[in-house]
Amino acid sequence: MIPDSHSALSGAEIPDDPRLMQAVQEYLAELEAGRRPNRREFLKRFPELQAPLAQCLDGLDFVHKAAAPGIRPETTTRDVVRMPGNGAGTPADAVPANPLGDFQIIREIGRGGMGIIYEAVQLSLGRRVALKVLPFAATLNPRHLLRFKNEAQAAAQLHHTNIVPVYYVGCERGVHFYAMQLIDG
Amino acid sequence: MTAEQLISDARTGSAAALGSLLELYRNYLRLLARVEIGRRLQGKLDASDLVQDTFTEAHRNFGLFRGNAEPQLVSWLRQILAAKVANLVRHYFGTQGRDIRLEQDLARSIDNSSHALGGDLAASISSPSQAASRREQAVLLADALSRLPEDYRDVIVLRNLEGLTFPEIAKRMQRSQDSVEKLWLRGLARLRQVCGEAV
Repeated sequence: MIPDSHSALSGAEIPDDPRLMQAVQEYLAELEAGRRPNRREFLKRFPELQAPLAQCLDGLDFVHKAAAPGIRPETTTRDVVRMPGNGAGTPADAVPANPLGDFQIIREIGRGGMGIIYEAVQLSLGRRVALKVLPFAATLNPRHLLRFKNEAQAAAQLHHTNIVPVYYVGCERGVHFYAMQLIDG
Repeated sequence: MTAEQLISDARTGSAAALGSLLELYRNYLRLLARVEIGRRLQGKLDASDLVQDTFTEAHRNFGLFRGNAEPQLVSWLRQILAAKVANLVRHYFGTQGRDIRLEQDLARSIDNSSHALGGDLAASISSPSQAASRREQAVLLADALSRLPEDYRDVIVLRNLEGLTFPEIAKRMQRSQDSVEKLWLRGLARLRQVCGEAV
């Protein structure tokens, strides 16, 4: 690890001006709402603070570029789970985003009580798996979600010749899924 | 040496290449471990130990890894780490008696931090040629954060990656809200400078 050279970097002068904090927070709120604020226009509104504000925005842009939109926990899964279960406009069997995390979906191979099963490839290991996906609309109901997780956990703990092993349990963009050994035929 | 070159050298059996390769992701994994451990288990699990365990397993099982680019490797390392966290949590809660709510909260927070620090990943995997030519943003961010003074880094991680509010952060760090807000601004302003050094 490279040691931080405090002295060499202390040139960053951040004025003690409450407007700076307000401006940076406003810009962050835009980013968190999933918008792309116009940086140049934004900076123009604060002529006296331009240099330090530009530095702070550079940092924020960097964090957000790395961290994707669903950065605040409150704005991701929780809100989805809390929404009333009308499901209008969300087809229950919409094909999930592909690839789903580490899994590239190839084709649908069946439907069970709790979700759709796909044949998929786990990209990092290059192996074929069966991927059980809880449809997005169904995640609106926390009880279904819990049942799905319990089922996956229970299956993962079982080691039996007639029961397929669970490799991975995950969630990507609100879609819950788990990967199992694929049995041909 | 790029990650892709190191992956290919490591595959031919070079232990040195594998060591250098994994080292590229130490900061990233430590950051992810830290966010995954979250506030509830802080002090009970150590992020550096988790990263070390993850490296040990990656060394042992590198033969199973099939990818050839950084995004796939990062995804693979993340899975190993997530499994380690899950096992430790199960162990910890196992000895304390079952608390379903805590486990659910933890599962949710693991999901969220993977989102937060892997959001770039899915996009890169879908275009392998592009992915090969640039580093994972989340890995670069973790490296830059590791070069910041600790209190600057803490505020950025808590605010921007764990999603706490400033009053919550102030309480957690036992400082005034005004002072954590100032640390945040200074950290953000410095982040680009320390990233500049990294590239």
